[in-house]
Amino acid sequence: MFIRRLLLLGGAFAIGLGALLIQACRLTVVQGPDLLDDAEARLLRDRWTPTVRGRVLDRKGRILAYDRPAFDVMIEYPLITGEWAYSAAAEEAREADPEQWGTLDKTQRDELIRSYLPEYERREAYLWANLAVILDIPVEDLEQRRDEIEQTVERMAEVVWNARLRQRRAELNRDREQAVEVTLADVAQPLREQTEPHAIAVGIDEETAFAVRRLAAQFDGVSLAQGGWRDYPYDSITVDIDRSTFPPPIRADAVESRTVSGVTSHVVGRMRKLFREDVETRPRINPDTGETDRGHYRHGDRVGASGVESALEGSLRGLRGHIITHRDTGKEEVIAPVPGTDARLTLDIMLQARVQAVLSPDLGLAQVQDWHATRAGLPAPLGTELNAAAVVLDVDTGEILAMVSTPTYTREQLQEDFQSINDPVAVPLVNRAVARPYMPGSIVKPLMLAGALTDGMIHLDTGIECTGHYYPEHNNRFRCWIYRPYYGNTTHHEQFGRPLLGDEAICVSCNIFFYTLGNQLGPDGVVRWYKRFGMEEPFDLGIGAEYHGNAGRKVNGDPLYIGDAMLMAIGQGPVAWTPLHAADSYATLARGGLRVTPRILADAPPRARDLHLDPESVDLAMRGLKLAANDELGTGSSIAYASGSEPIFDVPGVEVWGKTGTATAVSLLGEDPDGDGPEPRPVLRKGDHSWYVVLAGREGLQPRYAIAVIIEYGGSGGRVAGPVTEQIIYALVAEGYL
Amino acid sequence: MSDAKTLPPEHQSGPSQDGPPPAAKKATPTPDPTLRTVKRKPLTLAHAGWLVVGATLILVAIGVYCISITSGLEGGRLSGTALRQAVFACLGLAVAIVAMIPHYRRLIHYVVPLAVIVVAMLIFLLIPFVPEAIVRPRNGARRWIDIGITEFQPSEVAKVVYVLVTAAYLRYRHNHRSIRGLVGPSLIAFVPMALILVEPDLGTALLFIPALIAMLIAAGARLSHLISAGVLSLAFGTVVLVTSLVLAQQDSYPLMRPHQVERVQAVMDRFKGDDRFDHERGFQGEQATTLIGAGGIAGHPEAKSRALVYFSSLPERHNDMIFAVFANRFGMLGIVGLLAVYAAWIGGALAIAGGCKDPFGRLVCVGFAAIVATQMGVNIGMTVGLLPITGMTLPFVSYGGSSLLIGFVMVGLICNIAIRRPQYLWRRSFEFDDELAR
Repeated sequence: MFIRRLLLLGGAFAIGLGALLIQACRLTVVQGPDLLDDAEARLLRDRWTPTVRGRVLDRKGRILAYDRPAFDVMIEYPLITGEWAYSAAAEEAREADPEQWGTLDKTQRDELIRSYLPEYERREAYLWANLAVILDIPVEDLEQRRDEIEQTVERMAEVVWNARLRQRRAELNRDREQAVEVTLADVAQPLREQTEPHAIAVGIDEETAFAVRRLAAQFDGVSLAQGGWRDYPYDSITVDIDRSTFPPPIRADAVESRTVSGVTSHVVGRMRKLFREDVETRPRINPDTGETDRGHYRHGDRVGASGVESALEGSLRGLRGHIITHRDTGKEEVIAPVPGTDARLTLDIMLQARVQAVLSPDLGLAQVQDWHATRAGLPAPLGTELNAAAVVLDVDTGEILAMVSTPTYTREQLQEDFQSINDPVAVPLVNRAVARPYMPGSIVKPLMLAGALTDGMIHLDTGIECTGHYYPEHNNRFRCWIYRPYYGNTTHHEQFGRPLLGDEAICVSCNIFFYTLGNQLGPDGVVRWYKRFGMEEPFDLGIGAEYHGNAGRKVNGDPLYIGDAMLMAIGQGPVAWTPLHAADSYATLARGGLRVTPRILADAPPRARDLHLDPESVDLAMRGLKLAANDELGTGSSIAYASGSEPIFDVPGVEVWGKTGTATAVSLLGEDPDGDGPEPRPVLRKGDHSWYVVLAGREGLQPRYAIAVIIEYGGSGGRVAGPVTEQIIYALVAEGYL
Repeated sequence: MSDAKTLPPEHQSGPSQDGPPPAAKKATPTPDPTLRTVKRKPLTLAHAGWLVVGATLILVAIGVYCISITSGLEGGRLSGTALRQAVFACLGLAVAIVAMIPHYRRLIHYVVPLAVIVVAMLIFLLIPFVPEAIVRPRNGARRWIDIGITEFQPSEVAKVVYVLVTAAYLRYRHNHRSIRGLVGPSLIAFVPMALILVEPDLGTALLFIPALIAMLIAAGARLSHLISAGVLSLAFGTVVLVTSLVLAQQDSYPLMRPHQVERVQAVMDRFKGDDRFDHERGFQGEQATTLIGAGGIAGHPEAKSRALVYFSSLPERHNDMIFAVFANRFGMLGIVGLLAVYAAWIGGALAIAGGCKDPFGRLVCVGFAAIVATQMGVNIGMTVGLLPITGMTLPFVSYGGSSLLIGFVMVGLICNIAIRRPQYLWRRSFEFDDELAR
């Protein structure tokens, strides 16, 4: 009987053993290979070295942006917040007498810690004082930086913890009727940001890094990280400008040195911190293929935020190096990093700098001057700074040589003084040359002429009589610009004594002539020609945001009427484009109708399309452009200064074809002062945008460069944009292009 | 010690004894050539104790080896902890031999004083003003007494003494075959359990229950009683567990401590395949099962195993989690081998119980077997993820001086019982016939 009972006990034991064996078998045999992978993964430590970003070069190989090898000074978060001293003191207090420590209560422990604290506070102060000396900045700056980091991290922690709290609550209460209480303390695990070091100074050089390294030997919480620092050597350029060719009121027989900053801001762009979304766009393991992407983003990376840096992020970024350390054997497998591909631009950065200097208001050309006054008066008080944009295009290749938008910004400004950039009038972040819509105004007239002639709507010898107003019965609608009471209601017909031919109509910018063309082309025809010249078709420059243009799309979605077509034929109505569109379409005209899509990345494949313009129509339009810029009747040929009339273009050896435009603009209104009151919003800027688009070439030869200039709210095209355009031609000469 | 005179007096006069009175000896003052004198040596070398000793030595060797694996990447020499364990094993052998010398039945006289001492020590642990140099709480638990050279756990001693006390209590009784008779042994178990629970050390406290049940079964308690008691306590346990789990959702822990509830949840997570909390409450278990699984069928060479263990974040790797290290080194085949060694130990102890006629000896063997079996089962069960994690060592393998010494005391006592050859005419104890049972 006893033996039977023993057997019973033995049997129970055997059953227990069986259960253990089955589970052990499940782990080792069934899940074994997977678990072995898990365990072996811990033997490997992989380190990813940072990528080396490709350079950005201009057309002459000047380096506009590159990764300068540099270091970041990293400080552990407790050192930044100052919690370090207390916890280090606590550590020492505990170590000094562990047994006594165990017997103390909370307040006694605190007292004990405080007795050790001064030493650590002294060390902490020593650290910051030394760091300030090494980095050559005031201690206050370091303190401010620490505060910023702390605030950012605390804010982030608050957001993350609250999100976690919501998520946990939702998770727990999903299938429950009674709410489960979860507190913030349950979910407040430290964030990675609260345990990882933070960069207190970035981009320090080798020499400074050496000093920091010595300091780091004394403090565990201080370290150096390889942080490639993006440098933009041509961001600030000094150019010499000869004032002797300026308009008489600001002319001087002197060469002036001017330094312009932020030259590469718009086109080359800038870098920013990594967002979580970036990590998701390029994760370490591609979720579809399961492959490892060596270009993946990691905490601390920087990402292109605008311009080429952003648009070419994928190819500029490059691949990380990968160091896999076998922790058991100490062997290392090293995969070398692959530097990013250089981006070569078609820009000439020196020309770009010169154009930017010309557009700088303080030089005098881009501010309201007394010669800007029309009979209606000045567009804005004298001296008002005018915002502008200019594009210089190589006619032969479609390459963009310069693209300037003022005011611009510098990367430092963006980091340190964002408020200075947040200006509703200046909007420096917008690249006006490609990303802001403007009504074209009269500069579209040669395009319409060439289009209408090609379509056979008129003939080369077709004359159209300028009657002052298109509809005989309405003298205040569809008027010619010249037909105004203070002109004595004159017309171009009276001026010429006969109907105007196409080239003459461009020369004097006769609206009636082009209303007639618009009427004959009809909405479809006008829109078609706009689109053929490149509107509503992306340039895909690869420098960020672009405005693709609007050819006939009304805000309210209405269809186009014949009146819209007539307006669009003189560049008004539902139509808008950018300076790049303007330069592009004039270059197309200069090529005899071959459109080459402008490009700014040298490696971008050229895209060309023949518009099949009637060659004679092109000739006629070009003749008109030449007259407009040079003939004494031409709207863009001369400016009447107080000292007398002077031609706009007087560059020796350079021939100019061009057309002015004075485009209606919507007034720029400020914020409603009290938010909801009935009082009108203040008018910040009003008036017309001033256009001048020219083709320039050596005397007697074909035009080689297309230049488009817009001065926002500048008023008259010729008077305001004209001298600026002339100085851009001088800039081309100075850089050896003409 | 080698003749019958050293036997305690009750040997000759116990009521369970059945046979001729010693008067027979007096009746034959001179040897009668017609009578065949049966002379039998009181000690024997042919006994199942060897099985227990052999198994113990193998387990200790495995333990020392595995402890040295956990010491780091560098192999070659025994590490400090492994060496310490080996020293304790030698000491343990000496202790075991000493424990074999006096006849085990003499212990019965000392059972009550021993029990008093153990209870006193357990109470001593709980006295709040004892200096921390002697009783140092770890993680809030007061389990260890520092005696200079090492720290030891009175609860370890309590296990052994408890088995002795219960065996002594049950040896001549048969009232435990009625349900009322179960109260006495339960009360004996209750005292140390309660004291150990307060330390707190739930795992060790729960160890007393299987030992009690095994001894009761061996002593002939009715299975129907035990089963109904078992069902009752199981139901009670389930209620406690379920209530704790439900209340834990509302952050209230009236019955079990939060970490205990978490460990139960961790096991449930694993069976549900829920890996959300692998880095929180399931961490230790996850690390252990990963290491075990990584061992595969045949394990790994020592260097590889050292690396896998070293770079895993397994806590308590040389102690409670030593089985994971062993399984990683020797794989499934090793596990089978290890369990076979334990089976040999348990089987040996049960065989000794079967071969012994004396009730006290029988119950002591069964009690020790139950303790070792439960400890092994719970430890391996928690390591492989079948049971919640609780601080229980793997007997003879885990690092720990005092538990090893106590283990050797058990081995010594079992061998002590094994070497005593039972008298021919003794009645085998606990062979109740059904008449008596009713």
